[in-house]
Amino acid sequence: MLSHNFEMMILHKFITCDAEKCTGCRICELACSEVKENLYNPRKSRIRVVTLGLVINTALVCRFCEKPTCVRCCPRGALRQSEENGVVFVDEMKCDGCGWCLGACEFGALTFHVDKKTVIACDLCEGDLECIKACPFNALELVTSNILAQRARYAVTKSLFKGRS
Amino acid sequence: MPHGYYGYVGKILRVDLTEKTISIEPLRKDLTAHYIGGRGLGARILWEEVEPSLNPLSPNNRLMFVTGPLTGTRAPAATKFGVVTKSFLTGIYAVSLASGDFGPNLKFAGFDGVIIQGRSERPVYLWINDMNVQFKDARHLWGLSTDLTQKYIKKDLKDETVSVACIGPAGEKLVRFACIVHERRTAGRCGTGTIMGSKNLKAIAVRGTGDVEVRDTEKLKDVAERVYKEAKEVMKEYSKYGTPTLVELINYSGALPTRNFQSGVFEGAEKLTGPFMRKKIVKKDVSCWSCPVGCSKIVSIKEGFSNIITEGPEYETISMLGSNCGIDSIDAITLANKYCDDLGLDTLSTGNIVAFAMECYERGLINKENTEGLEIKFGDHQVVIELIKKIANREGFGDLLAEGVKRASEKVGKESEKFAIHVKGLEIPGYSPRSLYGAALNYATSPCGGHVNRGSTVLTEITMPSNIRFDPVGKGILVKNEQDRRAVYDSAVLCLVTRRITHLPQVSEMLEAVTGMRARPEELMDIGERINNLERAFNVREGITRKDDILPWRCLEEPMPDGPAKGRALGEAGLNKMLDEYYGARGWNNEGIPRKDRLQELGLNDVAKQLELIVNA
Repeated sequence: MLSHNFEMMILHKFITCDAEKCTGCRICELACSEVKENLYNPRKSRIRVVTLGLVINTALVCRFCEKPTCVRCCPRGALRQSEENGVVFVDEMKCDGCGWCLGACEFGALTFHVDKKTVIACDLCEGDLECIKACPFNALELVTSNILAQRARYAVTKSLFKGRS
Repeated sequence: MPHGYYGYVGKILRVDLTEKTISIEPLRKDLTAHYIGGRGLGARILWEEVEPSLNPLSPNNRLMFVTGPLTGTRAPAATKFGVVTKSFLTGIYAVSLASGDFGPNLKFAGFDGVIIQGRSERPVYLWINDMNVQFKDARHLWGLSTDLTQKYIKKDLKDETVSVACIGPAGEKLVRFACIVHERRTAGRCGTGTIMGSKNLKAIAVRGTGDVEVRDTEKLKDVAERVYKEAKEVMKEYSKYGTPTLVELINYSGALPTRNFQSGVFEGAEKLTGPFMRKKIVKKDVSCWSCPVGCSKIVSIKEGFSNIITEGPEYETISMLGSNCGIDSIDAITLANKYCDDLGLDTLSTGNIVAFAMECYERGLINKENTEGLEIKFGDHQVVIELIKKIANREGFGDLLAEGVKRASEKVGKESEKFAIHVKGLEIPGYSPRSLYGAALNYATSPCGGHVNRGSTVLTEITMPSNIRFDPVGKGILVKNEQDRRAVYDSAVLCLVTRRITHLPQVSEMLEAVTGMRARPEELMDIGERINNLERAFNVREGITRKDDILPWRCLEEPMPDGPAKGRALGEAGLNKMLDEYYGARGWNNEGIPRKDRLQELGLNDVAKQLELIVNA
């Protein structure tokens, strides 16, 4: 238990979506724009739903990379990562919306805010996560990359030894 | 807040396809206060702009896509958009609603609704990119399936997130019951796609990036969270099985239309149920916009050697393309459903009319010479698919069926109109009126013709003890109230599947949180009554009276062969009893025409004046 807590302390926690459970209802987007902007607009949400064809639905959001490319590539030094929880802060005075970071993020986790003309990203809402609370299908949760890796290890082992345990 | 109420974006887009002009009009505040939005708003504009006796195919007919104040917000299942027009199938008022994200995107683009008028010379599609609206050439899309049309438009516009509502070949060929398809959802009924086809409008594509502002997000969030909680309990079956969860229940109640409504109990029903479907073909649960239920089921079936992934059939499609055609294979129904969606046909009217053709064939009223050698027998799913293709392309025998069951039966003659199951030309869908008297009255009086969703009392009726269930007394008031309630949902706009978790008090709370409008549930019912009266007035102006509020012979006179209603027939006397009570409750006269004083009480003074001129003429 001790080591687990230790891991949670040094690894960044982020929101992940279980694509098996996600139905593409987009309530997380609406909840996020509600909390952050006091209006409804999925394009002003920090979490973004992606639907591919008929079967694939999931939501993508900043994963607070341990070595974030977006922070490194910002030519104006407008992005800064919190040492405490990994959240990427945007300095709205410095950010002029050039969009280098948007292109650099492989997950498309950053969003351009059309009114502010700056970049926005998930800031974990001081721990009170409306998107996770709102999801009617329990598809969202807060994890670290190690928790995901652990689950993957168990899942792959199960499938390798199918029917033998 | 440009409109005066929050929740609306305050603008209506008007598109003239003849002149190729576009104008943006303010959304009138008197309309939203009186009719909320959606269906009510569309009905009012149709009343004002479509002159009496206008040919529905005339360029002057209007085709409207309307949203409501809740559309695009977090209100649970505020996903729908309404299509309002004058129907070529029935010649009267028509409204049909579809889910998906077309409605929300239209709002985000900055429009509460779109009014289409005129007729383009060449096929076009409309591209609404926020406030930037363009006509685009659609000649390369003409003739394509709805599936490919949506794919190609998204490719053309280089944006996967664009919402497209379009017609298929059936709409282009003016099949009278063609529908408008968005994703795999349809504004299915009353031939909305036919009117779109007559205007040479292949599709509308929307991308919206703007905001929807509401009065009180905290309050809306509070209601939404309560509804989510209730959804987990009350809507469990729908979340798991979707609307097919109804198959078992409706079959048990003896109301599952079977072999062209000859029976209400289908021997193969157990192979069409929700649980059976989930086990056999369901791959994934999918939600519409902002819906905590997720009743949509993505399924996988085999056709020949290939796997087809598509959206599973809804309950009513299962009843019409399944039991009503004597088919007990869920794979075959899913395939027929996909063909209908791709070609742009209403699955319900199609199933009804194919079953009619099957009965005609089996009774010898038509033969192989009429059908290009096709043997049209109940239970043959290959024939269903053949006929769907023929109808959509108006080929040979399909050309006759493409006219709808009313006109087809008039052509076939030989008393076939006795079992042509329609009201005012609209084919009756998946709940047999022979064993549901309230539903029968609703079909007879609905403003669109034989339409269930304008006031279905099915779920109330099947729980009644049989002495009350099969008594015409009390049905008039029951149906009137349900019709008024449904008009509120269709105007807000909210989904009807989820109405059991968004009751009127919640609707009232949500409307206040979103718009600032204060309307108690009773006042909402008044709005619903206003809308129903306005729609009736529109139909009266087209010549509809009591003589048209009638059910086909089979539904009145032929005793039910099995199920809880075995041996019973409503009879003309029974229907008349219900009509008298219904007209009384509505404040309409004996002929089914709204009385002047009732219309005035509802704030419809101008409507009362116009009707008076017609009635006295």
